[in-house]
Amino acid sequence: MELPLKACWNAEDVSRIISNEALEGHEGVFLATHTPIAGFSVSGSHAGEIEEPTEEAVLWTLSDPGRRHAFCVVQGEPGSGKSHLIRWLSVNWLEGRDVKLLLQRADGSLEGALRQLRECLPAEFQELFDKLGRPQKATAQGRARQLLGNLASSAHPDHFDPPLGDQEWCKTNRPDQLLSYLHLRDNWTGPSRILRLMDGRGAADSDSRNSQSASFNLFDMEELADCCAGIANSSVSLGAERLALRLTGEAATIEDLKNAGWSAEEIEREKATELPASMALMNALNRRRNDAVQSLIGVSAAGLKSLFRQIREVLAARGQRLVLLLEDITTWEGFDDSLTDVLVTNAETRGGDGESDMCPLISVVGITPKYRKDLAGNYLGRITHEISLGLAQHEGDLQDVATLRDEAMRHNFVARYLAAIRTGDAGLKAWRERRREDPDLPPPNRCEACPVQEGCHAVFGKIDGIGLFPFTADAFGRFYDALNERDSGMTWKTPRGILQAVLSPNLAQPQAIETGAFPTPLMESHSLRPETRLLSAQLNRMVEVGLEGNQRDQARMRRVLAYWGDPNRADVTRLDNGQRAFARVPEGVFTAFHLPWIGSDMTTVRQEPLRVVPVERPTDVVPELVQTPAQGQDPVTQRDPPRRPTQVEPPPSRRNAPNRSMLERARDQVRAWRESGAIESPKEMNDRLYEIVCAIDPRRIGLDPHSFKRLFTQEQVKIEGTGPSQRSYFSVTRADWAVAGLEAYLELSLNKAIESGAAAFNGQALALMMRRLEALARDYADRRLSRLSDGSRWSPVAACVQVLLARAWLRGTVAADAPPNEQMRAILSDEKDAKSDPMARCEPWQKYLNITDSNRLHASLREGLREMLGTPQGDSKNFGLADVSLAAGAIRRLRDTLRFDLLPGDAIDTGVKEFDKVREIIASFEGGLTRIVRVEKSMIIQRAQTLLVNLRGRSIEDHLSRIDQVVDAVSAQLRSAETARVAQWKQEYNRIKPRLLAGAPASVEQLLLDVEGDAQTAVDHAATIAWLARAPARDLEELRLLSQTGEDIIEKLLIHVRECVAEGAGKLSLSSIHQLGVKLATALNPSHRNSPEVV
Amino acid sequence: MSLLSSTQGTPERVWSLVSLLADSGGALDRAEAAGWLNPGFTRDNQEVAEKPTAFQQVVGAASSLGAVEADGSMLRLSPGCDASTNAAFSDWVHDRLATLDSAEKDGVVLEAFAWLAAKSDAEGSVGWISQSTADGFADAAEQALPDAADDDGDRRINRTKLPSWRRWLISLGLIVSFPGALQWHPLIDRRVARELTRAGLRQNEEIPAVAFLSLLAKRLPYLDGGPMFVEATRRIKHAERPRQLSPILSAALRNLHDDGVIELKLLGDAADLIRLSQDTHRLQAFYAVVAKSLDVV
Repeated sequence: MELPLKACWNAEDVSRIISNEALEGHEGVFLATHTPIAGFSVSGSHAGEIEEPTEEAVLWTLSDPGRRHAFCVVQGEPGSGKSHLIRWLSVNWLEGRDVKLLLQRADGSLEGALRQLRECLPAEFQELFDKLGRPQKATAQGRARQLLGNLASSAHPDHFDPPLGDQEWCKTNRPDQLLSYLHLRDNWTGPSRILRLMDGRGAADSDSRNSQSASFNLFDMEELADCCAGIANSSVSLGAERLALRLTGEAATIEDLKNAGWSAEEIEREKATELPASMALMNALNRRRNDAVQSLIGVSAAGLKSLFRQIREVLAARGQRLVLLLEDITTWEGFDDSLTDVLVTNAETRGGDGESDMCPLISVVGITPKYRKDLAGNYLGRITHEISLGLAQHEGDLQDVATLRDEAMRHNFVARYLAAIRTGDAGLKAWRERRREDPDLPPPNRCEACPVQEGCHAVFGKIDGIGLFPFTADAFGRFYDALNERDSGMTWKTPRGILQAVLSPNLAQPQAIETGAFPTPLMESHSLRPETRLLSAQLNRMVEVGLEGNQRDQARMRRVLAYWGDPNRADVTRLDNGQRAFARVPEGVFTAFHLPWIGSDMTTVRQEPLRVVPVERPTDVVPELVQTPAQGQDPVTQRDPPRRPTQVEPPPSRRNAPNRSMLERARDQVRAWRESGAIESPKEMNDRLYEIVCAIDPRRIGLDPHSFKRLFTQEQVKIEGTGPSQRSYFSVTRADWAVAGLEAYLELSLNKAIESGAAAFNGQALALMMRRLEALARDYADRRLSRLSDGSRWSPVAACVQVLLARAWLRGTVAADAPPNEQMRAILSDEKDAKSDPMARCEPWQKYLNITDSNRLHASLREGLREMLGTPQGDSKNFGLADVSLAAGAIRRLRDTLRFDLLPGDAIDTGVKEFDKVREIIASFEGGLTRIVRVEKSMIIQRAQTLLVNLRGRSIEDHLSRIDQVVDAVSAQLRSAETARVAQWKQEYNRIKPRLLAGAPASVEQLLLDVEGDAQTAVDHAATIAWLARAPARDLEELRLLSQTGEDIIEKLLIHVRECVAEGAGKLSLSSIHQLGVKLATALNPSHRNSPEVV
Repeated sequence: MSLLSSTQGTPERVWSLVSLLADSGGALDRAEAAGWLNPGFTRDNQEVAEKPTAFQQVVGAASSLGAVEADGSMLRLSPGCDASTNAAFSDWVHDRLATLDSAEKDGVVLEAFAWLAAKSDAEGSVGWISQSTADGFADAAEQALPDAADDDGDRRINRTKLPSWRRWLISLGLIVSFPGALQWHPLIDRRVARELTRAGLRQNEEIPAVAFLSLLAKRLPYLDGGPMFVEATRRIKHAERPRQLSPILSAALRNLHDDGVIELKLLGDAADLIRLSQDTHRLQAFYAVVAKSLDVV
C-alpha cells in the first residue's frame, strides 16, 4: 500500500478556508464546512416555539412570516459558533420580503460596527445615518486622555440629572478628583485598554478582541492604584486621598490573586467583599463608560435610537419586517444599551389601539455568557428566545460547546474542513456555483480520486470517505483533549479553537511533510495545555536512544508520540486493522512523516486487546486560604516593599479543573519538571516524595521504626531547592534518578493495569530511587543522630531503654537484679505507683524521677519504645514480638555498670524533642546512676547508723515504748516539765503507731542488720541499686526522726528530774528513789522487773 | 518447620533472637529467650502479649536456617553463624540458602528467585511480575520448582508463603518493596555489590566478562549461569540466550556501573562481548569489568 508522503493541500487555501471569523469566507466555504449546530438548550419567554434544539427549528420559528417580534439571544463562549449560527440563519432566511441586516463582528470595533450598519442599510436610509454624528479625529493617546477626561467629569457627584444612584459615594470619595490627578492621567493605561478593545484589538497588537468586554476590570483598578502614589498632599480633597489609600491597600490583594492565576472576572466574582473601594470605583466607571465613549466618538445614543425608529416607521408603512442579525453585541459596547433598547422594543405592544407606527423587528444577537450575566434585569425579561450553545459545569466556569460533546460530530466537523482545504478556495467557488443548480450536490472530496487513498485511509483513517491525513482519529481525540479550557478566561474547546489551534498550525506548512519537518513547532502553542506535550520517562528515553544525536527528529517524534499516540505507553501493539503500532502510533504514520520506527522488534508485540486504563481519583487537596490583610491595618503600609509573598489559593477555574486526578496532575508536574527543571507545586511534589521515603524499611538503614518516623517527617522531606536550606531537612537532589523515580511512582500508582514494558521500566526506576534514597537516608540519620567515637551511630533505642529502665529501678517497680524479661516488661508497661518511697530519697534520686516525669516524658518515651521494639507483621498495629537486638545489650550494660551508653562527643541536637531530652538527662547525670547510688547509699547508711545508736541495741518498738513510758512517768510527777515537747512526742509517736503495727520496724531492722553487716558493699551494681530501691527509706527516716525526738525529750526531762532530785536532797536517799522507780516500772510492766537500766 | 512455613518467624524477629543469643554468650534458656522476645506488658490496663506460637515459629525459622540449635531447654547460637551485625547475619543467611539444594526445604527461597530470574529472561523483562496475581505467581513458581513438599505437608510455595518469601528476599537485598499498595520489584544491586566485596575483588583490576560472570554465578547461584538459574531455565524450557544476560542481572550491572561501583568496559568489536538485556540504557554490552568503589552501595 502506498502512503501519502507529501501534503495534498496548499498553504494559501488553509488561511483562506480556516478564517477566524465565520463570516469572512465566501459562501462556498461556508456551506462546504458547515456542521449542523444542535444539542443546545433553549429558554426565554417564547422558548416553547422552538420544537427541537436544531438550527432548522430556530430558523423556522424566527423567520415564520406571521412573527411580529423576537429578541433572540445566542449565548456562547467566544468561538463557540454564535456567528456561524447567525450566519447560517442569514443564508437560509426564509422570508424574502424582510429587510435583513447582518452585522458581522468584522474587525470587532465599535466604529467598524457603525460603518457596517451604514453599509448594510438600504440606500434610502443613508441620509438618516449621516445625522448620527461624526467621529472626532485624534491619536490613540489623545482619545485615551479624552476618554479619561470624560470619565472624570462624569464622576463628579453633580454630573448626571437624574443622578445614577452612586452620587453619595462620589460625594464622599471624589473619584472625579482622583481621575484628574496628574500622575494618574499620564500613566494609567485603563482607558487605552478600553479603546483598544473597542477598536477590535486584543491584549497584543496581533491579537483580536475575541468578544472581550470593553469594561473596566479589577486589574485596571490595581494599576490605577499604582498610579496614585504621591497623591497625599496633592491638591485633591481628603475624600479622594482616602479613596486612593484604600485602593492601594486592595491592590495588594488583587496583585497576589493575579499572580496566582486568578482572572479579573474570578476576583470580581469571589472576592468582591474584600475589595469594596476597587469594586465601587470600577462600577462607577463602567456605569459612565457609554456616555464617555459616545461623547468621544461624537455619536449620540439618541441619534441611534432615532435612526432605527425612523427605519421601522418607513418599513411599517411598507408592511415589511426588519430583521437584525448581530453577530456580537460586544462590538457595540458604547452603544449597547441604546441598541438593546431598540431591539427589545416590540411594536405590537407600543401602539395604543393595536396599530403600530413601527414595523415588526426580529433580532438575533450573539452574546457571551459574561455579557449576559451583566445584562440588566429589565432586558433579560424581554428575551423571547435564548439559545445557549453550551453549559458551564460549575458556577463561574466557562461553558462547553454542545455541538462538540459528541466525538463523531467533532470528527465530521474536522473532516469537512479537511475536504474543503484539499479542494481549495477556487474549487469551492466552482462547487457553489454548481450547487445553485443542484442543491443536493455534496461538497467535493479529492480523496475519491487520490492514488494513495487506500494506504492513506488505512493508516490515517477516514470519515465518510474523507481521509483524515495528516491526522488520525486518535490524534483528533488527543488534540481536542489537549485544548486549553482555561486560557486567560477563555476556552479553546470550541469550533474556532479546533480550527485555530489544531487544524491551522498542522496544515499551515504543507511542505513540511515532504521535507521531513512535520509536525512543526507551530503546533506547540499555548492553546494546547503544555503538559499534553510531555511523554512518559520511558517513551522519552526511547526517543533519546532511538534518535540519538538528531535533536530535530527527536522533537518531531515527541510531537507525534504525544498527539498521534499515547504518551504514557511505550509498547508495540497490533491494532485492530492488523497494523503494528508503537505507543499506539500506527507504523504508517512514522513512514508518512519520514520518521524511523523506534519500537522494539516484532518479538515483543503484544496481541492482546488494549485495556482501558483505570485511573485512581483521590480527593483533591484542600486549597490553602488567602491571607488577607487584617482589619484595621493600614492598607498603604501593607503594600510597602519588601512585602512578604502571600500564599494565595488557586483560582476557582483551576479548582474545578475536571477529569484530572491529583495523581495525574502530579505526574504531569514531574514530566514538566523533567523538561523544564521547574516545579509548579513544590508541596505536592514533596508530599509524593515523602510517601516514597516512608516506604524505606527503617531497619535497612540501621534505624528503628519510631526513630525513622521522628526523623523523616512530612515537613522535613524536601526536594532540593523547594525550601530554605536547613540541616534538619532530608533534602533530595533534583537528579535524573529522583525525577524518574517520582514519575515512576506516580505512573505505577495511576495505572494499575500498566503494560508489561512500562511496569518494568517504572518498577526499575522506582526501585533504583528507593535504593538511592536509602543511602541518603542513612547519611541523614547519621547527621541527625551524630556518630560515636567508634564511628557507629548514636542509638535512640539504647538510650530510651536505659533512661526508662533507670527510672523503673528508682521507682522500685522492677528490681535491677530481676530477670531481664521482667525488666523489658517494666519499661514497656504503663507506670503503676512507685514502690521505692521516692519522697524519702536523696536529692539526685528525686531529681532523676522528676526530670523524667516532666511533661510526662517517660510516657512519650515508652510509647516510642513500643514502636522501636515492636515487630508487627504486615499492616498489623500489634506490638508483635520484641526486636531486642539493641535493647538486650543496653539493659545488660546498664545493669553491669550503672552507666548509660556514651553520647556522641560533639553531638548536636537531633531535632527530636524526646531524643534531645534523653541526651540532656544522660549528660546531666554524668552519664550514669553512680552518683545517685553513692549519695543515696551514703544517706541510707547514715540514717541507719543514727538509728542504730539511738536504739542502743534494743528493738525499735521496745525502744520507742520505753521512751514513751519515761515520758509518761516523768510527766505524771512533773506536770509542768517540757509540756510542749511532751505533746510533740506524743503526737509523733501516735502518728507512727500504725506503721509500727504494719510491720515497718521489721523491714527497717533488716536494713539495719544489712548496714551493720556491710551486705550492700559486697554485691554488684545491679544488686546495690536493687538493695537501695528496696530499702524502706521512708520508714527508716521516720523512725530515725522519732528516735531523735525521743532522745531530745529524754534529755530535757532529765534536767527537770535532776532539779527535782536536787531540791529534795537529804529528804530521800538516791537508793530509795531508785526503789520507788523500780516499783513503778514493775507495776506498769512486769517484764521490766529485771531490766538493768531504768533511768 | 521451614523458613516459609514459619510465617511469624520474620527476618527481623529471627535477627532479634540471634542477636540476643550472641549478646548472652551464645546460649540462653529457652524460657528466658521467650521472655525477652515476648515479655508481655500492660497498656491501658490491657495485657499485650503474643501467643507462644509466635516465638516458637521464630525458633523454628532460626533452627531451619541452622542459625540456632535447640539443646534441651537451651537455645544455642550455631558456631558458624555470624551475628556480629545485621548485615553480617544477612550475608550468613544468604550463604546458607545459596548452598541448599532442592532436597532441603529452605532451598525454595532462592530456587524460586532463580525461577523469577529465568522467567524474566524468557519474557525479556520483569514487567510480567506486576501483572501476576498472588495465586498465579505462586502457582507458576510451584509448577516450575523441583518436586518436593514443605514440612508442613503443603506446597513449597503458595499464596500464604509468598509474604514470607518476599520478606526474606528483601532482607537479602534481592527485591525492593514499593510504597503503599504498589507491589515489589527485583533489585539485586546491593547483593551483587556485597558479594563482589566479599569475593575480594581488587580495585581497578580488569576482569574479563566471562570470568566475572563465573564468579557471580558461584556466589549468586540463582542468577545467570548459576546452578539454580540453569535448572530453572531447564524446567521452564527456556533456552538461555548465549552471551546475553537476564534482565535482572543486566539491570543490576547497569545500575552499579552508573553508580561508579564497577565499570563495564565496552570496545567496539570485541569478539567476546556479553550483551545486556534490551533496555533504553545506552550501555548494551561489555567485555570486561573493573571494580571501582564497591563500598558505595
